[in-house]
Amino acid sequence: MKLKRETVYGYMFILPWLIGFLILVLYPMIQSFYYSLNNMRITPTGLRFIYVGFNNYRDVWLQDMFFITELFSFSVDTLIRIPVIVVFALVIAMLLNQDVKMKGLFRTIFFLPVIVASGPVINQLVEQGATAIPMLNQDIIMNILTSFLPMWFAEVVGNLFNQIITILWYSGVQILLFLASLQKIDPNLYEAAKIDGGSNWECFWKITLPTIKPIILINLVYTLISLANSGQNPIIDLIYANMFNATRGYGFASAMAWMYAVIIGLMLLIIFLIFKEKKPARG
Amino acid sequence: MTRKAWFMILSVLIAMVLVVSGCGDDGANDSGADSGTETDSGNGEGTEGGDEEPAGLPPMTEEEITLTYASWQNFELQTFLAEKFMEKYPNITVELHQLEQEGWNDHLTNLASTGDLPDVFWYLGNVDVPIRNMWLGDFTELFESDPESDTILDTLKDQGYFDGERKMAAPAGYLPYTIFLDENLFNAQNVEMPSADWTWNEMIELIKEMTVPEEGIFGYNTFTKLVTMGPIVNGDNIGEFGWDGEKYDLTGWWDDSLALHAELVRNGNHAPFFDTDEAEAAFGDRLLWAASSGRLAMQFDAWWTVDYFKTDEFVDKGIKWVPYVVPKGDDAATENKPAFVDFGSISAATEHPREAYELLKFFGWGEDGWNAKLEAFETLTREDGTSVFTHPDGLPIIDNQEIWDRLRTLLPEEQYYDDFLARAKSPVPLGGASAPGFQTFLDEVYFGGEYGDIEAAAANGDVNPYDISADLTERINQYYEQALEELFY
Repeated sequence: MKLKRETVYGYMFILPWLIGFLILVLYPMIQSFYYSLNNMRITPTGLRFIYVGFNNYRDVWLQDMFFITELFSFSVDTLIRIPVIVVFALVIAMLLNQDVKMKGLFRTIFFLPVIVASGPVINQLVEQGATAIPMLNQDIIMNILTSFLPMWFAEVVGNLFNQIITILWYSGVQILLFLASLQKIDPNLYEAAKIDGGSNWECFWKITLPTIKPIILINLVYTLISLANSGQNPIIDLIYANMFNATRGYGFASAMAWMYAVIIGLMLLIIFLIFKEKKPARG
Repeated sequence: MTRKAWFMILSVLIAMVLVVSGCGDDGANDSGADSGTETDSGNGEGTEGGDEEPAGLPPMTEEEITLTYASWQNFELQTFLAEKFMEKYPNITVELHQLEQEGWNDHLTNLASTGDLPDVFWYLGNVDVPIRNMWLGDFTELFESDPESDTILDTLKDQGYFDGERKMAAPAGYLPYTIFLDENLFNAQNVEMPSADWTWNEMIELIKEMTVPEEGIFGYNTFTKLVTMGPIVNGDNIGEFGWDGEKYDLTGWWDDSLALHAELVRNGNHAPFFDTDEAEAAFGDRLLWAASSGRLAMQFDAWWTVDYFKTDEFVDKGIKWVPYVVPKGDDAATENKPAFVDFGSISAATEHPREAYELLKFFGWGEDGWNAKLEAFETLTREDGTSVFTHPDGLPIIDNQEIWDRLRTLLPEEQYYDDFLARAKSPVPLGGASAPGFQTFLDEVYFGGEYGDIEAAAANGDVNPYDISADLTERINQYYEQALEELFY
């Protein structure tokens, strides 16, 4: 079989990515799974393994009292944050899509946090309180929330106010994706709708939203993944702490990471099932 | 495919290879060991060091070797000591690893995973980490055949025999628990300062006497805790939580001490805790450290704070903190006092155990090392001419009066320091670094178990220490047994 020249070009272009995926993703994943089936000792003369089967997976649920509470807390947090981020990104994208002066500058401003506020920078900003709105009194908000919400839920909502700026900073990429999608909508559609007497509100619900629905799914997935991998996520800290814990170590931490990945996978599946494109019924 | 296209693809691939190789690191440099230490081999000086071998120890090698060392001591001090060691043994080059103290054991784990665990290293807080990962070298023979081992303070000499037979770690740094009394506040309240030989009950009575709610004066504030001190000074224990060398017992003084602390907190003898509404109400600033409020009689702290309490921040406020040792138990037979004792060991994989042992000793308990340390405390200066040490960094681990006397000259003239040093020669290390299983018990049961933080729960009245001390005793002894099994893995 002779490969087409275009095919070769294609493979050559994705080759760096493939190599990166094999070395930096697939190999560590296999390694991590192997670790999770063992108790590991990091001795001065090399790694030693004691095979324990799936005991580490069981122990993650039975021995670590923090994992379940953090997981629950993360799930509730995520449930609230994802819609906030995606809706905010959509609103900003629609505003940036208008024909306004200096829109390049505005787009840059909204994307800049993605580049600037990453890794240790975001941690510093959070620690210094730069991610809360100064005018908001957290105590007053909490008092109001706890008056009609259960404590566990009031804390999550209160936390949302406390970190609202960080949360909105997470929306840079989503804005970009929405913007690209909005620019692909044929202006003739809007023109035809307007001729037929459609208002902007109706245009949004009948034209804009259905057209960008696949991008909403992509943005939901992207947002969930970025929140799940965030350095601000206490489960990531917990996995790290277990890596270096005297009696748990890399094996236990790897099992915890895999369990966490499975949970995230389930959440992605739920999002996919809710927002996937439904094929129109035949006939 | 055109030549231009091939050229483009090749350029991209070459650029990637360059980026990847640029991001990599030469393993030889991983240690960060290029600390500026000079290898002075071959200059002839100090070669007589080889003739001064302590009787009983095998001779040091005369080959050119390199030893690596990692501790969180002041780096200028480490560099100075390394140079002194290399002067003594010119054929040995000492390379210092400079690691951040935060996450110390994590850094060591990373070094071990690449086969670069230093020949000599300190471990931080939790001995279970080096035990489980088999980092600790067995230097029983060297230690027991070394005449200098007998000079180590009695309460520290046998530390590091985790299984009772093999010497796998040794004390390397000692900072005593210190109770500071505000002499000016005592004078203002017309309360006589206690004797240097004060007792546990006298201290508790003084805490109560010096608490004057109408003037907003509090009896004590804790960094170090009654619950740590109580069992050691009252029960003559040689470790935390009633440790007698074989097992723990929290049913003795641990529950008494914790119940006492809870009572003192509830009665308002303890200063409000940092960053609380109570602190704001008491001091007008929730972030003010009670020790700098001028309304605190005793601060339970550690030796390293002596220097800080001499600064203008306190002097200008009219606060005069003076150091006392933790008081002796009223019925105690020993002068045992809790202390922050750092431990070091040699790597189980070192190729030069004899020389690594000598380096560990030099930086820890060796007389030559201590003379070098004192010289460093006296002479080391920064580029701007200021002294690196305004206060000696720790107390001697050895019972050598000349060393103690020389260290005394580096402290303020006051009698309090004479009294302190005279009573600071029976340090008892905290459990984490000296007792297998202890820190893991703390993490999984004591601070992170079904009761949450047991000390906080007791202070809040959620838990009665007497109800749980028997159960905790059983569990901590189980943790000890489990950790010991790891030693024989």
